[in-house]
Amino acid sequence: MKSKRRAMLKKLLATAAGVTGTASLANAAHDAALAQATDTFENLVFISGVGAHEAPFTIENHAEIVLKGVEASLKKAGSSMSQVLKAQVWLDDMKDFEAMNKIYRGRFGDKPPVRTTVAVAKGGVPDRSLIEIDVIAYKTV
Amino acid sequence: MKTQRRTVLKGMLASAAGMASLGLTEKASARTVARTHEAAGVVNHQEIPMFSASTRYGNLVFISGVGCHEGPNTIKHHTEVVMRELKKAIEAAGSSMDKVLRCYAYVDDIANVEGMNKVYDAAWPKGKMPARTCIAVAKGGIPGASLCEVDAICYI
Repeated sequence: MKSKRRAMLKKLLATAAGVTGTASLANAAHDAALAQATDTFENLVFISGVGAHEAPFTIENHAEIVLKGVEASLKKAGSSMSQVLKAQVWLDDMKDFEAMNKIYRGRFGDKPPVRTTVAVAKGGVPDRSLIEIDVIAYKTV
Repeated sequence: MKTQRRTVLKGMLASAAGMASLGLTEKASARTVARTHEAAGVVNHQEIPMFSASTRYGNLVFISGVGCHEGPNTIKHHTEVVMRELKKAIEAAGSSMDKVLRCYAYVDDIANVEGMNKVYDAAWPKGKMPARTCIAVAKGGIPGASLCEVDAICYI
């Protein structure tokens, strides 16, 4: 079953690579093709939404985890925080907006990405994350 | 007329060739690629850079979500302000309303979608409406108590 899944995944990746360039997996051993964390097209890099799923369930802790996760995904894709063009921030609760800003600011250098922030339905970010962020970036080749 | 057609044909062939060579590294490396990006209208939070009004990478332009933070609190007024300010931001970044590829539109109440659409639809040049995804977020889920928010990806 596992090898079958892996073969399927491989095939999927091969197709993705054929169409769009390269694709990398968050964790090859991780279940499901859902888990693709980054995709690239020429120099553009697309990073999946990153959430936080561990205690303490505070916006400070979750924002920190999420930003570090985004940074790790960017690095893996050959990009960096200072090369992010657009960020989408999803909050579980609008009351966390200011506290999120305090963690978020300054993370992307002096040419920060554009940003759109909204609060979704309460409990609307998967796995009880208080915040989720996805980004579009580029890489230097 | 004939030469014009020939030029058009030439252009088409050239772009077809360009598309066909995408997978070839030698050809791809001959294309000019932006090495860095530009950011305009940087918004600071207590003097620390937080986000930009727009970023540009090559010919691609990204515009931050635009909300409305003034009365009257009607969806008509808020959408009018949002679309006016979005247009300003797009033009300040060197693009225009006929070069927008994609928008995300948010309302904080699904009951306002129709009202937003009336203003939103009229804001675009005929035949140039971008792709759009529209969703209702949590009540009060748009910063600064805006009833709607729209962001954009466009080109130059």
